[in-house]
Amino acid sequence: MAKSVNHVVTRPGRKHGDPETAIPVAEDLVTTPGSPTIDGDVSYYSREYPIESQTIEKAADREWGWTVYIKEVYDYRKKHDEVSEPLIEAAWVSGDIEPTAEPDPEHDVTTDIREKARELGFGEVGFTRYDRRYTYQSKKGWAKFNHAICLALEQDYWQTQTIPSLEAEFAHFGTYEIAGALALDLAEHIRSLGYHAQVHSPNDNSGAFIPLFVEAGLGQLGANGQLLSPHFGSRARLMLITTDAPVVHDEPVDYGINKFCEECQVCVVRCPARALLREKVWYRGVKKNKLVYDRCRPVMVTYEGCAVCMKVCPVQRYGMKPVMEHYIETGEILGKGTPNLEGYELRGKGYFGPGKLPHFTREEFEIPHGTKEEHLFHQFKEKLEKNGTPDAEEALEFANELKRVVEAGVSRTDE
Amino acid sequence: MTHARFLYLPGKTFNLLRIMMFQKDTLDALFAELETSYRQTPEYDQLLRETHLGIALSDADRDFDGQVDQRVSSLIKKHRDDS
Repeated sequence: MAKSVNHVVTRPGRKHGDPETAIPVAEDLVTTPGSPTIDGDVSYYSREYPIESQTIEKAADREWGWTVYIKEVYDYRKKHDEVSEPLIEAAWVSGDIEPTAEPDPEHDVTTDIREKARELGFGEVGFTRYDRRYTYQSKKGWAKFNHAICLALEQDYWQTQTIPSLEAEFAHFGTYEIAGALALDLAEHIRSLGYHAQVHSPNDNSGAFIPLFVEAGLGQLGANGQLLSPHFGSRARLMLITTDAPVVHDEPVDYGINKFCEECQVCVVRCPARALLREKVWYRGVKKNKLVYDRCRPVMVTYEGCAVCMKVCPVQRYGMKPVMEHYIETGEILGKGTPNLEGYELRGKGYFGPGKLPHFTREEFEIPHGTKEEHLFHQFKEKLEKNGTPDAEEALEFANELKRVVEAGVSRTDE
Repeated sequence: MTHARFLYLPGKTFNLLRIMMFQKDTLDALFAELETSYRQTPEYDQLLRETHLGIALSDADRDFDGQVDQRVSSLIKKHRDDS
């Protein structure tokens, strides 16, 4: 059944120099620009329960991941870390570098930076207030400047459609490597305009980036927990530069995604781990679909990054414009229920078409929890319960292991 | 191999609307031919995107001529007719 159009969103083309694209939004998909948010709750939770990096909060399972990867993934991740390390180091000190010119107050820095970023290859570029409520606790003392430049780089289309696969992991991490290098170039350009620029490396995240991208109008939060941007859907890889350049902030946009995802639900029903929840919940002041981490993570680690939720998103596969046009013309979700959109293969488990999901044992979902210290204490407690009071040698072994973890301190990478 | 999709229209008896939907074996053959024919060309990425879109529109029983490259359109029709 045809739907009436409420409004049309006009966005730049996918690549620099492409014509603008017009995305119609159906009347019945209209909710609110950006995400439904209770601002006071966002503030309260960020102060009382600040968010922290997965690298720290979930360090135990991240360490465990290295023991589960197949050899090819393990080797590739090691190489990725080697490539990323200098990019992370360069980004880490980038905010301390002084501008290389005097600022020209007459110059339109917003347009200049946007053009330069697009020229470098970033597909989505937006500006917003740097909202520190989404900064990780461990990075609050590091992050500088009040304006955020949101930069999305498109992950390779073909490789993404092979998800889950090693090929798709090349695309995933490879895109972050490229983005990290391009952002250093962009930061240098901003300094040449007379302003500071701090690169928030995509290989060493400083916080939750999606809320800032939503505020900058670059997309809306999908049911799969990913930013659904107009051209790439969930295939956008995100990073930030913060700056003191006087940029003009963009506004959040209603692309119809908040409601569309409620209608679509393809990622929810196709998740091999059944980790995505059908209903939105209010979480830290934002209404969103939450995933069950303990179900997602084991499958993600075991099966080459999984990411089936990214692959089966129709906005990722076809782009937002055709998907929204199809919805307006037919009232249906483009690709939903078809093997082409919904089918995937899982190594060792076979092919799963629409309506079919793999089975896992309970043991396959058992992973270590929390920080490395927490996991050590948990293991020690289990031994106590099972074997009683440890002897001096076991107690010393535990103390030494704990000392190793404490001395290693907060790591900026998996290593 | 194509399968029929059955739609239930509320207030009516079962309405058997047959829509030819691409199944895995046909999709594999189609994408293999696309890759063999165009992988080495600079427009492969765009053709691949349009193939996915064309298949989705075909699966929805909608016309895709004019929305995708003519080469893609021919390929989709060929494999749909062969299946």
